[in-house]
Amino acid sequence: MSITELLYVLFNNKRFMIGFGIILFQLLLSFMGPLLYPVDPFSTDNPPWTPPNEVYPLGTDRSGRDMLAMIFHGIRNSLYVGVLTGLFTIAMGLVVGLISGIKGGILDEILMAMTNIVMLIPSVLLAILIITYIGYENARLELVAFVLSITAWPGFARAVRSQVLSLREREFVYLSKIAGYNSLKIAFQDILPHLATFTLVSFVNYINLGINGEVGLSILGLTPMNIMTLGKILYFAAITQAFILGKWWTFIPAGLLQVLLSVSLLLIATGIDEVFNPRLRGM
Amino acid sequence: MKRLELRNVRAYYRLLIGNREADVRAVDGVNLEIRKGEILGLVGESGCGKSTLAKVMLMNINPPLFFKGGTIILYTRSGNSLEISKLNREKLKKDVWGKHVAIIPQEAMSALMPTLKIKRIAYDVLRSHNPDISLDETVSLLTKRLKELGLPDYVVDRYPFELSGGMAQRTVIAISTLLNPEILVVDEPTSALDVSTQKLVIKTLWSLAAKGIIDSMVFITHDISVVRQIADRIAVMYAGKIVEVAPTEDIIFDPQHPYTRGLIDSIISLEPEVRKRGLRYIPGQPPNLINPPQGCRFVDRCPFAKDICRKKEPPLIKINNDRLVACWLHVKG
Amino acid sequence: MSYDLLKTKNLTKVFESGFLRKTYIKAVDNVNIFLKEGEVVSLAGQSGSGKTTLAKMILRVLEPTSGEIIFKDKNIWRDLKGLKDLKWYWRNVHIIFQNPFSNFNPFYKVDRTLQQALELIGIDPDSHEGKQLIREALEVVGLRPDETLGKYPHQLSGGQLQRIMIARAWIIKPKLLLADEPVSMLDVSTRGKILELFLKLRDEQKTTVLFITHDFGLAYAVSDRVMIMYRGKIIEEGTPDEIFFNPKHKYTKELIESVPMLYRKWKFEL
Ligand SMILES: Nc1ncnc2c1ncn2[C@@H]1O[C@H](COP(=O)(O)OP(=O)(O)OP(=O)(O)O)[C@@H](O)[C@H]1O
Ligand SMILES: Nc1ncnc2c1ncn2[C@@H]1O[C@H](COP(=O)(O)OP(=O)(O)O)[C@@H](O)[C@H]1O
Ligand code: SF4
Ligand SMILES: [Mg+2]
Ligand SMILES: [Mg+2]
Repeated sequence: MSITELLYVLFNNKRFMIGFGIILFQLLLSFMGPLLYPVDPFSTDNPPWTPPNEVYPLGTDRSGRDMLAMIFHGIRNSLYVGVLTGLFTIAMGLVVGLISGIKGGILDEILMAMTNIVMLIPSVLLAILIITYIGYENARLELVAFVLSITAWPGFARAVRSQVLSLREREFVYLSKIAGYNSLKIAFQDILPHLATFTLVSFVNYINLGINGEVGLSILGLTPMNIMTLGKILYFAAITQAFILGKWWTFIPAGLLQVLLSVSLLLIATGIDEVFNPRLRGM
Repeated sequence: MKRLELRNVRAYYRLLIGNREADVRAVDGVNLEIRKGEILGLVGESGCGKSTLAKVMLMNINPPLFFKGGTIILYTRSGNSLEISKLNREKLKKDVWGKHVAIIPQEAMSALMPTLKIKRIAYDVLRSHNPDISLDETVSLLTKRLKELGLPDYVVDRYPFELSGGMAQRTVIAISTLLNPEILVVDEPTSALDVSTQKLVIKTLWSLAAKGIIDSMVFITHDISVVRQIADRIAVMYAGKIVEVAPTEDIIFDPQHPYTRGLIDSIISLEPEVRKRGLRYIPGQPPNLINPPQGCRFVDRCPFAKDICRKKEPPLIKINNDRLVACWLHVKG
Repeated sequence: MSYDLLKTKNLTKVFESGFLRKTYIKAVDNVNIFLKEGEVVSLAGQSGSGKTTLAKMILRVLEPTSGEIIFKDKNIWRDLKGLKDLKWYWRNVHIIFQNPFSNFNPFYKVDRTLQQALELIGIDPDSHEGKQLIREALEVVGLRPDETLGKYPHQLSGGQLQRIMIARAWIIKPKLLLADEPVSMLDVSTRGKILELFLKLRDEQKTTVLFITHDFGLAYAVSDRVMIMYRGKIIEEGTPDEIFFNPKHKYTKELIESVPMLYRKWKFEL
């Protein structure tokens, strides 16, 4: 199948299309929202604990922050953290997995020992250590994404490595080798294309991990205070005891949006897998 | 005389290519009879529809494969005839499969549940026919059958992976025939085996028939040298159709259909005749079954093709006492 | 047929597997063979006997555990250094694997396989000369260039793909072509054509072909000389008639008795 045919099939896949639609909608919200509703999400000039009404469509929290504005900014920043986490994880995992798998030998042993050690460290602990060391007032979203990917990449690197190991034994790789191709050329021309689907699916899953991980770190109070994210909204709700006080508008919309983001990313990932993975396609 | 009869049977795979639907006409108008007490070889190139025809003989048809028409009649030992192409799945499962017709599919060996002992596997098989049977009864039945087929009885307590390839395949044969079906269909039973194991498996199949455990057998293979060792008759399949059926020696020493002739001539066996003859082959390749040629399906590779071959399909007709051929060269007048 | 093109000395390969409890498999066990210029030699044996492992060591992609492989007075695992030497070697020694589909990377058009051959012998694949050579090679193996070039592997049959592999060898013109079960996955009706092409390479280019197979019939039909491999060892060597009609070794005899023949029928007794 050609690329256009594949895209055609992809866009005919129900799961993918539903997931893609929801993401597109949320992206639209996060970019158009702040333009159409130019309210500062950190401004505390509004009356506190206002339930949704005509002036504050989603109400305000205890400090008088406008919930709708918080959500518009929150989605955008959460997605940003997610995509960044995905990129960091994939990049580190691919580089290490490819080198390990193709070069082998002592380099492989060192790198795999490294992944083993990193995988043993509890991710929350690592996050707390790094962020308290840097100081969370200095922390930025990029740092949050980086911290999240540190514990995520070893798993991906190992998966890449094991795929490379089996690809390396495939006949066409030998045939490229005996045509005089060096390892780099073989990695790019013969091996990487076979990892494309797997990498794409993993990328989407790691975006998801980033978004959810950010929420987790936020609730522990480990993310920058001056940037609005979905996690931050839930954090504010938690420290103001909004759950107990029944101020549902301060956490239900943000919580729902986060779940929706997660689900849509999962749908996209399984959709891609269904379309590109011949085993699932039943052929 | 007849045990199973197929009349103009068709079964197609429904494929989705992009957003278009297409039919792979894997079994397309097959006429064939399996006689009482015979071993019938079914040969043909990869992809010509042998395995599909095997499934169709049992009416074990699952999407994307669909039955498109024709009649299949089973003549049982007790003298009844049963039109199995009319029965639904439940009925087939309860009354036909295993009891009257059994199959050993192409991937049977690798499909054995690795976590179950052989006796448990046999138990599950028998229980699906008779819920009341006990494990002890299964073991005694199985042990008896293993002995008849020359297999050691410790096999019943082994796991599948503890058996060698040949042993596993012969065990599969033993289990599939526990209910003494009239007909056994075996699909490529030896293609994954070494020659010495292959010979053992073939001998096992032969003794099933010689001892009357089963009555008739359909032996499917791409390797004519293998099936000729035990088959009474051979049916040659090409692109979804049967093109020639005749007694084994007639097919080997005097093939009549141009495809059969090409096929026999291409075989490279360990014999001086073959080395002397030199290398032969059939030019081209089999047609695409989504869009097969009109008329004779062999026409693009046939050295004798005439005008009519392109236009009209040759009928499968009887040419001398016991031979059927579908080729215009053999149609008189 | 004068000098040895390639020979091996006590060639051995041991595979190690398992993590805690290591197991060792001697895939190739102290093998001494020689190959002369312009002959088709069959390496015949059951699956798992070590044929592919031997071929990969000769191809210099799998390092032997011990022993030597000498090609034209060079010890290939000791004397070849750097990509230049290796390319020289792979111009002289090339391979065709068993599975026609895994010989090709499914992401690329089949043209790539032939372009790689040109790169190996230092011809620009985009040059007029290069393109001409590709067309010529395809015609030699009986394929129509216009119906073959620009296609992806899944659009061609196994037989067509194997012929493209032979076209690749025809461009490279190696002294030694290792053919690892090149027709095992092909239909009986198309094997003859492929086998004919190997004989043609031998006759027209003096190529030595190491024809690896588990099928004694094929070995008998195409070879000038036959070697029988059993559990990593070469147990017998000779002309096809000697080996198959007057075998010395017990194992060879047993196997030959199990090979099904077309014109002869086994007799079974209850
Ligand atoms: N599940 C399936 N979906 C679609 N097409 C199929 C399916 N299974 C088989 N086919 C097609 O049906 C045709 C006949 O296949 P079948 O497996 O019956 O051939 P065969 O003669 O048994 O081949 P082999 O010798 O390789 O076992 C082929 O063109 C094949 O590609
Ligand atoms: N990469 C490998 N790792 C471990 N064992 C191997 C490897 N390759 C082959 N072997 C083993 O070596 C033996 C010979 O294999 P091979 O050379 O592929 O045989 P053949 O080509 O004759 O079928 C077999 O027992 C096989 O399992
Ligand atoms: S019908 Fe015609 S094309 Fe077909 S096999 Fe006979 S002669 Fe050949
Ligand atoms: Mg089949
Ligand atoms: Mg091999």
